[in-house]
Amino acid sequence: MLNYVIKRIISMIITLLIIVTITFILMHLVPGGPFTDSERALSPAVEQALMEKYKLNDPIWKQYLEYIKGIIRFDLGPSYAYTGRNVTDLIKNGFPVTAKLAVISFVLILIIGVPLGVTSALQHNKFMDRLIMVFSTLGVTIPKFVIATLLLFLFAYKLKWFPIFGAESLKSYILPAIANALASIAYITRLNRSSMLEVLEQDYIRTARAKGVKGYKIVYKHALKNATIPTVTVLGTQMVTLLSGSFIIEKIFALPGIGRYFVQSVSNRDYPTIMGVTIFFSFMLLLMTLIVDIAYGYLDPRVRIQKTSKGDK
Amino acid sequence: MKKSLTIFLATIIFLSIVIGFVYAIDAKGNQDEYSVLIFNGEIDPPTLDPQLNTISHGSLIIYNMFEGLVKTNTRNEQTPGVAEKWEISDDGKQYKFFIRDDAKWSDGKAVTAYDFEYAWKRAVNPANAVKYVNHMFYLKNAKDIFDGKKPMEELGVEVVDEKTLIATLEAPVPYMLEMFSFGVYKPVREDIVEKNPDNWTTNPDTCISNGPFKMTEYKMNDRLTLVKDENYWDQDRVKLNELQFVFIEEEGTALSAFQAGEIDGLLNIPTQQIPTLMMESDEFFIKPRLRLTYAAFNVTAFPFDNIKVREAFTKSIDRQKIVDTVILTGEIPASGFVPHGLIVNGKDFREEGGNFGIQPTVMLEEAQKALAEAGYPNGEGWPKNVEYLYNTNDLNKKIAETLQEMWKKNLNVDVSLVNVESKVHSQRRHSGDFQIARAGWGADYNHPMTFLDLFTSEAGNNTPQYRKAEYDSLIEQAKLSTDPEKTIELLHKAEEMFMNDWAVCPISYATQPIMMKEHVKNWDLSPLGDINFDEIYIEK
Repeated sequence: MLNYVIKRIISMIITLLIIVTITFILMHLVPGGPFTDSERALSPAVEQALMEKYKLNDPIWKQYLEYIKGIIRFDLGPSYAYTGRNVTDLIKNGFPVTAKLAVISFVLILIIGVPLGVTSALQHNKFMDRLIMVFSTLGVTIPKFVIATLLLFLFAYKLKWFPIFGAESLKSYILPAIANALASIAYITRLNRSSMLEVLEQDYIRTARAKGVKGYKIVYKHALKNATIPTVTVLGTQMVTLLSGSFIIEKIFALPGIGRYFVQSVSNRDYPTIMGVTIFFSFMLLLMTLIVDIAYGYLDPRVRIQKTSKGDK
Repeated sequence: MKKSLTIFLATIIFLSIVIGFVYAIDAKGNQDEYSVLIFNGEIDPPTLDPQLNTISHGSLIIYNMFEGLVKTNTRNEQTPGVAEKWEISDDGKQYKFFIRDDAKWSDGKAVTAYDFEYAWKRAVNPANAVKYVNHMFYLKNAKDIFDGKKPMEELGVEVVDEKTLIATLEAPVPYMLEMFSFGVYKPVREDIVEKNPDNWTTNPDTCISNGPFKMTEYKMNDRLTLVKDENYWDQDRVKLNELQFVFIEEEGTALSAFQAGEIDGLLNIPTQQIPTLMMESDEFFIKPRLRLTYAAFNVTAFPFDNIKVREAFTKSIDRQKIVDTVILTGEIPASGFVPHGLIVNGKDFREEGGNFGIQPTVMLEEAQKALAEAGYPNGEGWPKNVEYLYNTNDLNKKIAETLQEMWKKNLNVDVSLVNVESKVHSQRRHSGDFQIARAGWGADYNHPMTFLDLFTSEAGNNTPQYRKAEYDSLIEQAKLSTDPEKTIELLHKAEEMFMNDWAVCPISYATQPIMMKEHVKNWDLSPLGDINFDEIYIEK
């Protein structure tokens, strides 16, 4: 197991390095520099001074090496767009908000998505199943920003149950989290339903039934564990989707998270922020995948045995 | 049963009266005691440093936190700021400022002439890369110092004593008093800035200011809280106790927050909502703004190197229709380059300058005649691949499509539309890599010069690539003239020359829609985008 984890961490570092390199190259290929203002031309001397200040006059390879050195020291460099702020600070400031939003969304997925899927499967082809499927289809198809706008209008503006914008209290996160999670909830519901249906057809379930095990025991003790494996597989990536996909939600509800830097930094040509945010999210994605893979082993002994035997060779 | 019901009702009535009474006292108390105004700043400005800021979102806040020697109010009147009085030499090149004794920084220290000297030298120092350094070049030797040709000691600023400052200019400037109120000329404290040169304005502990409001809390991208500064010399003028800026970028959300009463004012109003708001809301206003949108012809690129083509294109569009059906915010069809509202020597520059024969609606016959003279009668022989370049944005796209359609219909010429992201647009525009491009310009100060010196040969924002020695000389003379009347006369000549060369196709003079709650009193928005938060009071 330990061997496996170490191997994975090494491959993670290599992957990250590749991502850093590709982003770095792409970024410098895009026309327009960080100090091209949208309307006003900068005097060449000022632009030169800015380039000098941020060491952009150095050859690209040197900038690249300096950057890599910085990452090793966890220094992501200064933001060009926000004078006097470090990218590390931007992430430190914004990530708690984004993370809170993602965690609440994640909890919603678990406590709504999984039970709905199970109910749907148990009520297969009955009214309840159909109803849940209609809702989950809607959830998957309606874009996030439409849901967000509707929720905002109805529950914050009309009914005044929630604040319209900002991140003042936990209450501020409820609507954004629902809007953020809805598509994932629908997805998890459908996934859980189909895997549950599949599991319920299996021989060992039939055997359990024949032996007279009670209905709820079959579901909770025998079927659920196996039926959740596909769900666990996608939960990791869903978490990253929630984290990174919150951009539009953060914008609509004016939450001060890091989602905004995703797009803004690119249009600002704020190189260090582009790099910083990319590295950060890539790292999160890789980490989630690793956690999911480890969790697999605990849920499904077959996976664990395979992995260990590979590791032993 | 009946008795208990009576007791129950009596209790309810009694409680309501008590609660109502308490609430009434509380509400009244609030009005007298502590007033807060929450304004949507839209985006968190990159910096609040008076020398480094370049965007209007930053100026809106800096205007209320820092005060220059002179103050320009929203009615464009120059009133004493940190300087209680000043003397101007006869040749108009020397300004002697007398700083008031009670001018203080928010930490209680006195504002001195040294603070200005430090700020101005900081702005001119090339190492600091101040983007608005060109506004410092009015000071003697500033340009040479910036270019490294002269030492900093030769800058046209002299501290006579702690309370007296002399500024010497290269040439008399008719709008110099206003310049002294501009951001780059505002004072900053050496001891504060030197400790954290890049980020002293991001933290309330180090953000020492000298204006009506000071910072008490700053949550990035979320909320900036300013309170009335008890050290400010003219604090009787300031009625608000607290001024909060929130940063809601999404227009729909901002409008909902306003309508639900969570914020008191905003500038970023969804365009589609404006026609309805105009009809239905008492809290919606359209204010003048010194800005215009135009299409720039690249006068060096085929086929717009032909003056007749430019004339035909300019005359064949229906500006009235564009502002009425596309822009929707009550903008005004443009027929010159300097917008309305620049009053110099008591006269509106635009009114005096006329319209250069450009009508708000299509001038079909003249346009077609010009195109025929250019060698493309009824669009015959019109080259392929003529491109209109604009920066990606919904409104720009709609305007571009409308222009394309008008040129096709009225001149029978094809123009294809190319949209690029704004940084690319700006780079291509400034380097002349386009045929026609969408462009806009907003005034930096209240004088026609801010629009007309764009088209001198050396100017970086000369989008049409217009280079003409006579034009340069007119602008140069206007800048050096000691007679304000003469300056204006020269500028009228310059604008006429430029417009008669059909270097740009003016589209519209901008407006600024704003929403402000009814309980916000005495507010004003200047054509440059400043709001007088220091004069506002709240009456509920």
